[in-house]
Amino acid sequence: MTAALETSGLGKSFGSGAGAVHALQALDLSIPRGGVFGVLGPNGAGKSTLLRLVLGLIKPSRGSFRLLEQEQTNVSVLRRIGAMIEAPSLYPFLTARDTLTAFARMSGFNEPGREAQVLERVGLTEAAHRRAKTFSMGMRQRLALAAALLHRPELLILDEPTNGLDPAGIQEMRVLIRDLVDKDGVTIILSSHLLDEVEKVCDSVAILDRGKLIASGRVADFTQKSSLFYLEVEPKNVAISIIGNSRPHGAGIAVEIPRTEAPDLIRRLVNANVAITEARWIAQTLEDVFLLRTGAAPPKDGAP
Amino acid sequence: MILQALHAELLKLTKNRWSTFWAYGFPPLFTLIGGLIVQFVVRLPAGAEMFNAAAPISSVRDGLATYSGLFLQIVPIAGAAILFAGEYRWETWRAILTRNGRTSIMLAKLLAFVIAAVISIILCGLAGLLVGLVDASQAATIVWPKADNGQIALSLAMSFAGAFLQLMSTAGLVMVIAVLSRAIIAAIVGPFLILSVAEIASIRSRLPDYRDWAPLFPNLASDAIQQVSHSMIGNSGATFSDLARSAFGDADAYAQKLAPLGAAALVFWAVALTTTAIFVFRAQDLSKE
Repeated sequence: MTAALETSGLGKSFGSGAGAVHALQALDLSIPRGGVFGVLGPNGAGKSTLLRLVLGLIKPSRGSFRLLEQEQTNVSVLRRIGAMIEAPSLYPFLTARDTLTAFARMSGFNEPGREAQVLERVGLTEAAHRRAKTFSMGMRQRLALAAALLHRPELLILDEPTNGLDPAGIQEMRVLIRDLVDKDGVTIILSSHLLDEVEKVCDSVAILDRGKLIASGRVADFTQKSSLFYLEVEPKNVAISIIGNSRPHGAGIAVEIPRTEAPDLIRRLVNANVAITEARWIAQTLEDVFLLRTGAAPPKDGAP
Repeated sequence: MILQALHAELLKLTKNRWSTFWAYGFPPLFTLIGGLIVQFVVRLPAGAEMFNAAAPISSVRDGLATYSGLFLQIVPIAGAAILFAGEYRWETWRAILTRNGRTSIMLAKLLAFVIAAVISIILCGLAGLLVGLVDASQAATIVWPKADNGQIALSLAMSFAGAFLQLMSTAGLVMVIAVLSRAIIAAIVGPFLILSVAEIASIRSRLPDYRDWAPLFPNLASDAIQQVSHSMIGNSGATFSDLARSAFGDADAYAQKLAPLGAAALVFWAVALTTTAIFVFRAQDLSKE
């Protein structure tokens, strides 16, 4: 399978000397064509930096990348991509339709009726003649998505696409994303802090933390192959010292281990006089994986 | 790709009506209303004894030279600032840089400014013509230049060129400051302050030791071109500022010498500043607009 995006030792630093901020450090990542690929990470993990690098908005400090099999990010490659980075960026004085017309002209894209089509697809037909400055955050988000879809991109890059949407809007966005992939054959790279959202819509994910790649793979592999082993034990501190890499989970603690190691772990706890009141396997969510791999609390909804 | 970007820029310009009106429509309106006020409030009550002659062609020329004053430069500066720094203000660079090239977009913005500036200068000339015709309808005598039609057309073209080149050098300055500051307000205040300082500093070029620097001052360069335009149709000494005239003695002779150098300097400023802005923008990291 060809890659939509391949990075090799890609890095970006801001500033120089001791005060330099290394937003992205030697990232090696391959995102295949087809499907939805999620980029996860806490604030400051380097998600937006990665997307801005790919779109040529900032220049890499080191390393390289190939976008849609092209070495250089020139306009001819970028015109095959639709992007919505961070908060929707729109002209306040333009109506929704004029916004799309301006973007279409900028792209050299001319397909009569396409503006109306994409406005309908994102549910903004009735607001077509309203100025963007009167839009709610959710409507702005929809309009920015319409702009990204306007020129029928092969690759769609969405940064926090559900920000500002109500639950119904989030559901619609999820359906739209799956439709774009399954029916239109678009590849989507999606960055989000809403872990359950990513789990529902993404096929594969990469987890970034402090500019480094922590893990990547299929969502199904993360959530099914390595389940969490949940234990309610007393005294907890003794159990934790024996188990090692564990974390609080409900009233007990959870540890990510292969199923074959569970009997040995129970035996060691019993030998150390730890009282086990409950031991069971629980399905691991992407949030569990995220917490275990990054060692941080996931960002809350609405965080920048 | 420049034409595609220009197409988009012109749409934004026409839809951002209020800003566009103030930036490019206000100066012609100012010339028209200001001229009519002078006609009806000053000249008409004073009667033919004081103002018995009207000169419509000079009035057109005065209209074309509307932008030579620093005061009215603030409006096209604001217009250029919205064009060149607007994408930073609305954080729209990230939405358009996936659709067109950096150089193409900046050149398209410059072309959009050129179109708006040309229309605005022509409207200023037409406003001057209207004022001149009203004046002619009231005056006892109408004064026509002692020149043939070709010379009159050339004179008006020179006047237009002086205003246009001065505006383009101003636009280059706005573009550089917009890219460096990434802020509309800085792109308005910065160039206005720099041009104000330049205008004050140009006084120094009265001194013999500094006279060679005179063409580099946009206000003097533009004034010299306007003066040559005036003298071509036998209207000597009407434009060049009293200050410059007192410094150089024969204003016409000095303007003839200064105008070509001044025109070259205005072109140099426009090209150098625009090129610098584009060069900086091409290398600029847009981690946050």
